[in-house]
Amino acid sequence: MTAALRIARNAALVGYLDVRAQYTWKSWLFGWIVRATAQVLFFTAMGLLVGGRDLVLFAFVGNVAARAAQAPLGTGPDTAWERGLGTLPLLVVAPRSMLPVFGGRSAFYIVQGLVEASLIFVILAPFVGFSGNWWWLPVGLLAISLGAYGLGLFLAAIAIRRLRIGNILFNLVFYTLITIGGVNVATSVFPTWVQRTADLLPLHHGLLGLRELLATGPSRGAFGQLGLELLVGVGWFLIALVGFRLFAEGGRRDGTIDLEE
Amino acid sequence: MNAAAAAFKMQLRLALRTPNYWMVQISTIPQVIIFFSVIEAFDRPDLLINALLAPILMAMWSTALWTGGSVVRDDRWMGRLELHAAAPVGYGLVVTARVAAVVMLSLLVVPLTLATAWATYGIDIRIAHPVVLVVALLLTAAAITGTGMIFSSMTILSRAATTFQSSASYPFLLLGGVFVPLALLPVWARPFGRLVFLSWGSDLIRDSVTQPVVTALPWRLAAIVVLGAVGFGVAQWLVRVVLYRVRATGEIAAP
Repeated sequence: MTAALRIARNAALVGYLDVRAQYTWKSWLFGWIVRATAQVLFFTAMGLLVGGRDLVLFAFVGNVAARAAQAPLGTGPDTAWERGLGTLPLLVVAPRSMLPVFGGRSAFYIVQGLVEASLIFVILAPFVGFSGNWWWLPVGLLAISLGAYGLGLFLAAIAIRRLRIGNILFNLVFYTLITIGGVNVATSVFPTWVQRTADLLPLHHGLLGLRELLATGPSRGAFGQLGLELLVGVGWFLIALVGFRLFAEGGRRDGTIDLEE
Repeated sequence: MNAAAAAFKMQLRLALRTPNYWMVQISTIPQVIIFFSVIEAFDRPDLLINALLAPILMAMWSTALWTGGSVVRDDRWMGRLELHAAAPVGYGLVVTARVAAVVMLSLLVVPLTLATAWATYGIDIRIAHPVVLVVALLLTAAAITGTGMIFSSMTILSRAATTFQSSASYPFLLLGGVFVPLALLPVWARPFGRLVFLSWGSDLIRDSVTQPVVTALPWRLAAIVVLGAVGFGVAQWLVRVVLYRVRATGEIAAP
């Protein structure tokens, strides 16, 4: 256990340095954050045409929360990228599971999602006229980031096996989350089977909890929803664990780990 | 012209075989549902065309930005940029032809959007002026090609430019009024929006479907053409300047 944690910690440091190398502070702030803020604003602005102020505020909180889920979900395509770099054969011959490596490798995305979503909230809140218990925002966003990270690791376990579909899968899953997760409209407007699907995915419960915290402050209901969000994340984490094991062992047995597409 | 045709055909074949290219197109399906779930939840069937048009223009603009950027980036990483710089045919023309190929292909999101809307919300739409619709859509596609290239040319300059390039996506869609018409945005934002060809394109396309009479048609078509042409001109100029610069500084192959 301590060895796994040590590996995860070192991998997390590598992941952090990797993110640092991708951006300069200028390209992060004036490139990426401008884009992400405009995306939240784009969907929030729907309220100007339909739904009025209610939709403006609903979509604003929903889309900010979706940003917190997006970065951790990126674990999927980023892990596939790692395979392209040729890291995998080394990990397969190593005696330990790959999960602590990839689990740590992208752990910084949890922080990134939390920080970016909070920053976008701070930038836009005065313009959309948000009033509520804003100080509860980080708590809700953290639960959402963690929940999405579990699913991100599961996407990683698939993407690493099928390198070329990593990005497509990420996009489809992310847009599905914002479609049915209660971001722009409440999940209850969809048919029952869609609502049950949303129950099993991150964002839905976290967002319900976050909305309640922002509106009425802490309550059993709100923390219950955040707890469900974490539970969903843990569920996907466990499935990812099996996925990584199957991939590594399957690839080791038939010698396709670095060749199969 | 032969070079442009060859580049166009090559990119068409390449796109058909690249899963990443289809990413934007496939993402259209959930996006259609996002817009429809909103107009359905607030009981606004009059906004049907807004909900149909937004995912179409979003996919076309994203395609131009992403593929346009990756064309130049891949040329550089694969060491083809030097060959292009030495070739007698302007690089701008080659990139334009390649971006045009993927934007043309992205028109497939029109039937995809209609099919998704029909399958999920049972939508059946009647078009008031089909000819105006087709002309406006094609001109908008051409303007998307010309203007999108401005951002691909920037990717030659630096790695950070990729991030800046992606920052062009949503601000343009917002100012382009692809879902919420420009007229509903704050007053100070409207003049900026009028400089974005997309705002003329999306207004005209919506009117061609819903309005009994499309007013000031020649002027509105001209606005798309002129702004698209300006975008195209700026992009061609930028490609030349940027290529000249990296040749002069010896950084043509630098990552």
